[in-house]
Amino acid sequence: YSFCTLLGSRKQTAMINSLFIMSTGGCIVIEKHWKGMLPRHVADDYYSDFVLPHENPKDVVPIVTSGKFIFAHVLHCDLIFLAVLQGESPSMMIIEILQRIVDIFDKYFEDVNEDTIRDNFVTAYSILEEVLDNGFPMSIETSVLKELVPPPSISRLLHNLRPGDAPVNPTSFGVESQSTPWRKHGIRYSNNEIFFDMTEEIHSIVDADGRIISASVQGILDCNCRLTGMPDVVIQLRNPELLENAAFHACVRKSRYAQDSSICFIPPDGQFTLATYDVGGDQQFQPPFYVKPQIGFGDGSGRVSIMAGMRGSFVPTDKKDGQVQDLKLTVPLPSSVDSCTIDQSHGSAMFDYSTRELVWEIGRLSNSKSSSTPTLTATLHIRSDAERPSVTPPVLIEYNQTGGSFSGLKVETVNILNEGYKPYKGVRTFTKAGHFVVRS
Amino acid sequence: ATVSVLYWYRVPVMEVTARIAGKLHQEIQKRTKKSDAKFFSTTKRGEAHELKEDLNSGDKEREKNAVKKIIASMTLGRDVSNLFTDVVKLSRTRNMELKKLVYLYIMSNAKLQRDKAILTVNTFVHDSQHDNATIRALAIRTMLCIRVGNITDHCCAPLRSALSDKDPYVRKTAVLGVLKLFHTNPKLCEEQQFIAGLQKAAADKVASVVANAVLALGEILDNSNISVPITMTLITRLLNALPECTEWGQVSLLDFIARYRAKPEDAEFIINRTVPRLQHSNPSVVLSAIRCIFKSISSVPDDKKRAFCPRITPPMISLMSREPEIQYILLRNLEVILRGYPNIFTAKEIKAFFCKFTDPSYVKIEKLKVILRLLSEKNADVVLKELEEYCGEIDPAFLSAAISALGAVAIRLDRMAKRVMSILTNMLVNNLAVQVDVLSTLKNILRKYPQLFEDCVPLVIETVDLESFDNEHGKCSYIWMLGEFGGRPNTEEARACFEYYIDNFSEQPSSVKLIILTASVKYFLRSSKENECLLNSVLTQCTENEDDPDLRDRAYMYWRMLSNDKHAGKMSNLVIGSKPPIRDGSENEMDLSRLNELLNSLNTVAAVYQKPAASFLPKYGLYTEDADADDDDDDDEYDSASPVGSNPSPIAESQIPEPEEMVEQEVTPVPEPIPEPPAKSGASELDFLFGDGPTTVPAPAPAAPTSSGFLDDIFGGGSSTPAPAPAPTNTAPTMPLLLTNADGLNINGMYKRVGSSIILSLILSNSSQRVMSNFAVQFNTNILGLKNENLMQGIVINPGASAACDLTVVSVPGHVIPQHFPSQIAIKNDANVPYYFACEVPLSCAFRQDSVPDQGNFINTWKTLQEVQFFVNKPLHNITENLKGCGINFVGRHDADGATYFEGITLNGVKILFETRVVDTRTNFCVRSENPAYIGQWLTERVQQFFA
Repeated sequence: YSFCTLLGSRKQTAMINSLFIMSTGGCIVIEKHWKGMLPRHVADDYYSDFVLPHENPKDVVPIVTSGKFIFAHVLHCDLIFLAVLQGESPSMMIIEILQRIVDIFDKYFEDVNEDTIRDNFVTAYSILEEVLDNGFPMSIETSVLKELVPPPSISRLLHNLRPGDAPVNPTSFGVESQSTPWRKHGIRYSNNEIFFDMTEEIHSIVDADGRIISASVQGILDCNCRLTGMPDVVIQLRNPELLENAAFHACVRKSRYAQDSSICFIPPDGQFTLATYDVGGDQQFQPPFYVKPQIGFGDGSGRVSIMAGMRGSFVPTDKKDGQVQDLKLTVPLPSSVDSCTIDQSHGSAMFDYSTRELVWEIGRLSNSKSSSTPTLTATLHIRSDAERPSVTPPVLIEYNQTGGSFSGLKVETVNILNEGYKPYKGVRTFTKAGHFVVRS
Repeated sequence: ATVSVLYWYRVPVMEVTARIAGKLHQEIQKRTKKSDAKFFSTTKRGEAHELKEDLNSGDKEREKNAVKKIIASMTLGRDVSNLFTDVVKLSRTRNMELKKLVYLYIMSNAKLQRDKAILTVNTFVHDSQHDNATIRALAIRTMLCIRVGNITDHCCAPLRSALSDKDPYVRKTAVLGVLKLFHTNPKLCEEQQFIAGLQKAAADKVASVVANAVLALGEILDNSNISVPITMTLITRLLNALPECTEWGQVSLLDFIARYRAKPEDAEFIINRTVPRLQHSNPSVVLSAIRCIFKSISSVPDDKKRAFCPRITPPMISLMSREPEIQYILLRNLEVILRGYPNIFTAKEIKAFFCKFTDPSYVKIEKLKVILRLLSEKNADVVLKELEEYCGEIDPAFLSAAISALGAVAIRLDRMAKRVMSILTNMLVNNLAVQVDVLSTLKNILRKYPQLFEDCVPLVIETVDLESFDNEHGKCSYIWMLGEFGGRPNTEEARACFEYYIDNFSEQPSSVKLIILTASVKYFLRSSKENECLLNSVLTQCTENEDDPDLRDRAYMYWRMLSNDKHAGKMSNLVIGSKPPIRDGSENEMDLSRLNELLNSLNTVAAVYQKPAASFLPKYGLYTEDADADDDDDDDEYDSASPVGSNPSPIAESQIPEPEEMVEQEVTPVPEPIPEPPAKSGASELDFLFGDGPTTVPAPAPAAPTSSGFLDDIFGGGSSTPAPAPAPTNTAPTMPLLLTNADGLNINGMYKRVGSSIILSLILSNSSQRVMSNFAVQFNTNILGLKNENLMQGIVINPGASAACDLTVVSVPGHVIPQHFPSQIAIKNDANVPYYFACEVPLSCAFRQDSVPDQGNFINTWKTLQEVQFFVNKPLHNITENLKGCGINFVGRHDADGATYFEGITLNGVKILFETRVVDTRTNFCVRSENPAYIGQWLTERVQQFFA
């Protein structure tokens, strides 16, 4: 350890020079330059050198250097958000900025794709103009940004239709308040409301025998705040000890949280993510249901059989029944599979030829022991000239669970200080599958 | 879409609103069709006139629409700069939206209308005194984005007043303005004392101003000779500003704090103040904080280090469930961290790095690397099970990485070897697609555990179908195994395989031929004499039919040794002797100073690339495509030597030799075609036979063996060096090879001092089939500003010949860029393709010979400068004379603590102060200079090479 500081770092901070948004087909939709124009062929060369050689654009490495440039990109739907840099920069920051730009566009245009960006190019340009200055991020907080760049006309119309929305106060425009850069003064609503959505995602890898290889639960606490003035919100949680490794929005006072585990903040206006967290403790995670796949291939044919059901040992964490809903199993089959005959006891199942995926939508899993177990058997027909597949595909799982969070964490009380009104407060909790894979 | 907007409404009334809104939405969409899209369709030729009219109409809406249309055409790449004057007229508008659009237009087009750009200055100056702070800031921001020479001069006054504006938003914008000015015109920025302004801003009471100020300062410090003292007071101030800053501000602050080399007593304080940042939802804040922590943690006692780990690792684990791009960046950085601090994760945490089916290929491969770094006795079983699972994946790149990872597990942990072997042999039988990878991994495992051969070699021989097996690497591994183990039980099958390959010898690629030759010799030595005809057949084919000198010479050598019974015994020793141990690539093969440099650069692109920034980055400054851009220093480009100087052509760029490939990507770096280095006896004498040279210096075929005396020389260790046929071009064996390439131009060379001048002495040799002439050489900007004084004239090299050339070099002030190290030199010949190579000035040539030390001021100067420490791994007792020869003069000695002080001035005039101290078996160096670039890696390498 002792030599770690011998050499000073030689670094050139230069941040983002240009941004190209291009389709996965290689067509530049929009370009923005913050430090002098770069010719378009820079992006075209990148596309032909790095994107084209890959069959799937999702496999393109996010940061590469070529010639005089550093290229960083994130992929969103069918768009490549490509940042071109000429100097050393914090790599994570570049990726996060791109990710944020995607999020902002998503919020502004509701669905980011080639058409929506082209349709709203002036807004898109203005956003890019505001979001970065000289390639360095400025106001990326959506609520502040919405004041600087009005959303495109249709959404603005909707925005104005919302009851209780005060007109934007033009004098406070752009000048951020110093202690709370994420919230400006003078926000007014006739109906004050604040809502919380607690979503827990279960990430898990389960092996063919039902043993859990890895499992983790990640929670997101989203907030939609429509409150007048400068309210100070205090949240108390039930079982706060489960909240491990929380990452908070900049508005949360971390010192207070360290003191008594209450989350205390002056919220930004509108929707934002208040916190993300891992559920800790020594809790052994067990998904509430089991999925047992058996997949095998012979010459010219194959067989998939899957069983799914609630675990006998499952005890709901909330008094509301923790029902498993929207259960959907996807089996990505080898490309040599031509067709499939499927027989399932519950839900609907189909084979998607274009993606070679066998999708079984089971829907709700019944909790009662008496009802029959959902099963699916499928016979696969393999192209005659293809070799026998050597790999067995896993089963990817999606589901939602009602009633209460998986971990038992709960928003217990919400108090508003600093303001006189009594707002409407609402809390919802969801549990759903994140990356959930059962290996076969 | 509408539903999601109204997602929060819970009262039924709201639902009605939603329905109305939905209808409205449809209606509006029908009418306007596509809101902004209409602007795209209307810009055709001949409409410029119409636009002009609109712009001058005085009607706000018409004006605004016209500007929008113009911007729309701009996005399509059309040149709309001819409307410049008309658009600029609108900049006085009071309408904010229009003003912004106009500014946007000016920013993009001013460069195309250099002479008219001056028209905008008045507006900007006027707006920079506006009552509204937003407009003031906007004017400053836009004005400095224009980057046209004559406008830049007018920026200084408004910028200066903005730096002390009463509104923090304006100050914050102005601080970034200084950075833009520096980017465009560093000299002006320095002359106008803006750096002092930045230092003042770094002490601002508003956190966001401080954050921007350190961002700007950081970039300026890195790219200039300017130095600013970084004190603990400043650092404490930055730490205090942290919680009040926006997330991006925090990144700037943390990155600046990471510059500070904390004293042990401050390190803990800094870490404690940084750790809470790990709870931020922005991953770049988390990673910058981690960088800060790892920068300071080395001076914290070990037990406390361990206490910090549980606070540092969970946030990293959390990031593993973010978008794949973010995971990738984290994983690459993590690999660097784990090289320095392998034990930060608990055994349980490894599970976070297990691959998911849906991960993109690049994430999976990085996860594998991290898993291998975290592999330990404790988690070996879990890891092995997991890796086995990956062997069922479809993605070929990942599959191949997983297989070599299995090999690495076996090589690292002895007890796993047998299990890995059985997994691999299983795959060999069941999955044809991975045969090559499996064979190569099996071969590596066998190198470490030859006793396991029975588990796999018979099976390999049985499984591999020689007729259809057609992969160069696969064949190499396969034949290697045959040579090594074929002589054991199943001789017959092995013999059949050999026969097959020897019969088809001429069709094999040359690497396979080489390995067949070596393997047959091994096989012969291990099995009975009856295989002699097999061996004879190979040797005959190699010596008679082959053109490849490598192959031919090696065959001759074997033949000579075999034909002399006296040496046959020694030969077994030599050819099948012990091999160097195989490593799995997990050791810290990166040397410490590089590792530290990378740890320092966590969260940068360099860390993601795991290469030093200088090896892939261009020079600082504006990008210029047209070489004659008048506001750029065009003398930095390779304008005479190379046509690619200003035009990034990927072909030419790719020929730059990668000077520092810092990380072995291969898990098992064992090139197959190289024969095992001979063991112990006679090794050094044989070197010339195995020599590195043959590919570059083709030696003529050696004469047939003449006497046994020759072999005696090889084995006997006689003092004379019996070169069989001296290579004609190899006249300067002491000069390092600088460049070698497929076109046949090889360059050896080094710097030397002749009298008072520095000479770059080069030997150019031509191994191609054509005559080379018209040489030209060009020095790129470099750390010492070296440039050649004389040209390379009249050099003509015939095929196979070589020519010497001495270039007198001098340091030219305008040619210095401290970051341009390693120094790059371009050379081209009549083929007109530039080649790049790097050649560093040794310590003995890097300093002025005539400098006189300034003893009086030494102590005072010493105190004000930044320091870097390094050491030479031997006690240097006569260091004074050694350094004097280099032009570094003795200043004084501190007898009490044994320190000796020196001072030298580099060729480009940078003064460097030295303190040296002999401690036990090594000599510590403390060097200080006003310019940190000269005491970093550059000087460390120079000194260490000099004393090596």
